[in-house]
Amino acid sequence: MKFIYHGLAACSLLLNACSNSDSDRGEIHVNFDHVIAGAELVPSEIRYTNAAGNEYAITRLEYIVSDIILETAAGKRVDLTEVHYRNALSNATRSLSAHIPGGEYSVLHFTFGIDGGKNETGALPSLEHFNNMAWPSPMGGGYHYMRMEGLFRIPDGEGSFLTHTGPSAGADFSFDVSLPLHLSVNGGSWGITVVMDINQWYDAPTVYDFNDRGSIMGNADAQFTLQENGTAAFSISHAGRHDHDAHEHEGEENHEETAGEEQNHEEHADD
Amino acid sequence: MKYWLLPLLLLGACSGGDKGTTPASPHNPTPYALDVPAGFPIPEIPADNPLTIEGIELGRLLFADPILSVDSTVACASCHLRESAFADARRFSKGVNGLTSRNSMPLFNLLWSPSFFWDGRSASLEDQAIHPVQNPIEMGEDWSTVTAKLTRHPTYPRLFAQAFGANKPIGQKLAVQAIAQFERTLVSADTKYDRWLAGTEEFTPEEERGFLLFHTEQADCFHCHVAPLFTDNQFHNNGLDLDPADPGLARQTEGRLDRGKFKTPSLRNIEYTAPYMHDGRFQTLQEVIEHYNSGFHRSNLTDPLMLIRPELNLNLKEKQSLISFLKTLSDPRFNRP
Repeated sequence: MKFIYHGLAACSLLLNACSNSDSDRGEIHVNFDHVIAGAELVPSEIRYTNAAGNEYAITRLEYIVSDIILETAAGKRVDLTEVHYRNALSNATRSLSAHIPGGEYSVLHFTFGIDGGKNETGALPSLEHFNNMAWPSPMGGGYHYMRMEGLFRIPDGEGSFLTHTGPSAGADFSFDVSLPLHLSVNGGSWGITVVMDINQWYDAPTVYDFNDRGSIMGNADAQFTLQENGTAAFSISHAGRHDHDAHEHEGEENHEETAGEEQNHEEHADD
Repeated sequence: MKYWLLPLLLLGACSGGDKGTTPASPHNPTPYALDVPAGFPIPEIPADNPLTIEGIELGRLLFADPILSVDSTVACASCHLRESAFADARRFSKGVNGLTSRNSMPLFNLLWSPSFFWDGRSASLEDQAIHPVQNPIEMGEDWSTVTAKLTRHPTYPRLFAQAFGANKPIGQKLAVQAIAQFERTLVSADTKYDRWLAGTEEFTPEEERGFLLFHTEQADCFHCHVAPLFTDNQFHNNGLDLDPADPGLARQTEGRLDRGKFKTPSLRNIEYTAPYMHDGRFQTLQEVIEHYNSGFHRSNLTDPLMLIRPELNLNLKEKQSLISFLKTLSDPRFNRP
């Protein structure tokens, strides 16, 4: 199945080529954002609480979405891209862009993670961000769907949680997300913002307690719970004209809230 | 066809695929065909500093020449020794004015690194090479003096002209470009592990056990030491100190939670690069593994990947297996004296 993702660039070229003559063709930007309790995620010291009562902080949030498709009201499916890597701490990964035919669009589909039939070691191009998501072959092979990590308060200080979802023992815990929307494309530039509600992974239908879940890459039960909870973690907050302001921070990095101005550092003798 | 072969073929086409070609005329340096190991990412080489045989050769000479230091006693190669995979076997390196405060990093597979120094403060090899020269402890020289020395040298002006053209001024910019070109050719992937991956050599049962420990959550090395480079090129606090004396990454970001974070080193050639950690505090791989097994400090600075469990609980046999696996990452041909 390796050729599927390696063919990405070629497919995009073909898509573009097919409809250059289409005057109502539009440009679509799909953003992936993250909230907790209704507010934008801020990587920081402990400030959040989930349904289990864990007080926690997020230190890492990376994930892969694949087979991202827009469907028209008439049921025609338009491929946007095959795989997208998102790092919540890097705005450069916030959006994917594609050109689409004009028309009335009513659903955005994507797979959270990679479908089991395609998720094998080496299926994605050897790029640092994909390699860093590797799910080693002794654990089933392929790629993590998500690496969400952080700290939470325990009686004598801080413990950590590693919400690493992926193909435990080769099983498929990826899941499909379909989000209704109304988007009428007639040329121009359009935007869709998908929001991940982080607490949803931990709150319902099954309460997920960090005290009971440590390293979970080999824990099929934890993977199943997260698959069920995660299916409801996504919603669309915006579908309409492309909000150019949303891109003004492209390329910048989100630093933790204490990040300050870059200083002129004196030379240190160290390497 | 593997997608990553394409740029190599293109490079090969440009250069006739012959690394040993006689240097061309001064204004037409010979492109260098880089061998990218199977499975490695496509490297990004700056468009304004392509690899050429003449540039690499100039860089190799500059790297080994103490002319870059204030008293002509210290070269890059003084602290980055080939027999140590271009690291330094001394805990701290000796510069023109005392000892450095961190252990010299090994130099290989730098093409795939987005940042340099233990705290990642340089974003390119060209920028990195500027600093040791003017560091008061390391080389203690200023680049204007280096420029004067190189300009009046009997052979360097000709070599600069061959590499970059006679009309470009000799100085810091071209010198660091040449050094960066040389460093980009330091590719190391000729190991038992790579041959095992290619199916041409078998692991011993102990190496196999070590591989499995490494690549499962039992020893959980793989999350940071990611194949094929055996680094994630990111920054982690691995619990060396409760209150880190060296701020590490926090010197750049000023983030409270970045204190004591250092760049993940590659584990390739780890057999040759003792001592270990940014401050060279561990002399042996046994000490390193014991640190991760039971010796690290727990605080809100410690990486969540380590904080997840009290200790690894590896027994002696498992620790030995891990070391056996780590030694399959040695590239003796790269590490020749």
